[in-house]
Amino acid sequence: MENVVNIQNGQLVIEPVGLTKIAALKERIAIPLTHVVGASIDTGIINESKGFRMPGTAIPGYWAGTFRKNDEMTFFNIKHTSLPVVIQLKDEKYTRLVLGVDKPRELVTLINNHALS
Amino acid sequence: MGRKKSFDQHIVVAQMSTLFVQRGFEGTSLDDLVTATGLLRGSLYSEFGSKQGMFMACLKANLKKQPLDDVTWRLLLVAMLELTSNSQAVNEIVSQWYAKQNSPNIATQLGQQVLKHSHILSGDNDNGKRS
Repeated sequence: MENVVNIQNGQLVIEPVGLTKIAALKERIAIPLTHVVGASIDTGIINESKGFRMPGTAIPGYWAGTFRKNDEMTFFNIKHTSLPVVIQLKDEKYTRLVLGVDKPRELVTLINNHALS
Repeated sequence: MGRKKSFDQHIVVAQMSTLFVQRGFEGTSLDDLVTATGLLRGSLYSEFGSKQGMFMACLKANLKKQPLDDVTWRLLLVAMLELTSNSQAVNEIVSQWYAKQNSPNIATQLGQQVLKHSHILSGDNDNGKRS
């Protein structure tokens, strides 16, 4: 588990956990639920080219930090062994977040039942 | 895979519908959807928001355009088997569809679609079980 994700006070709150907090260079990301479009399980996304790493960490099999590709900024904080949860945003710095979490399927359901679409 | 910024949503929805009908919701991966549509992953996410958003676009378009088509029935079955128990948004679409059905045989029609999809019946032979 690389991140703890909760919904609090109308916001989706992502907190990188333990060492990944340092690697991802992020303490906490809070997104208003009105800017959260949806969530998906997407195993293949970590096999695709992620684009250019902005600040962040390169450890084999672990992606953390901000990546830029096709004019989109994506925040990754995931190990290759985790089932990726992809969260699509709008009107935010990040176009999407790719996260490793404890219970990916439950989180996807929770987000989709609270998101806009 | 070429980069396409603009695309015909009708065609993309038809391509995705075929996949969801063949493989179910869980069985269809984003890689499958990227390959079938020829679109970038980012374009699919930007347009539909999530895999659930892609499925909902397919379900809505088919219910509107061809409510009696086999593809529509099978998307409804996939929705009921995999999504309506968890997803409020999909539940709403299918509940509205169900509320509008006047036929007293709706359960029979659903059952017939399951049998048709199963390929356990050879040709028209249903062993005399047709109602």
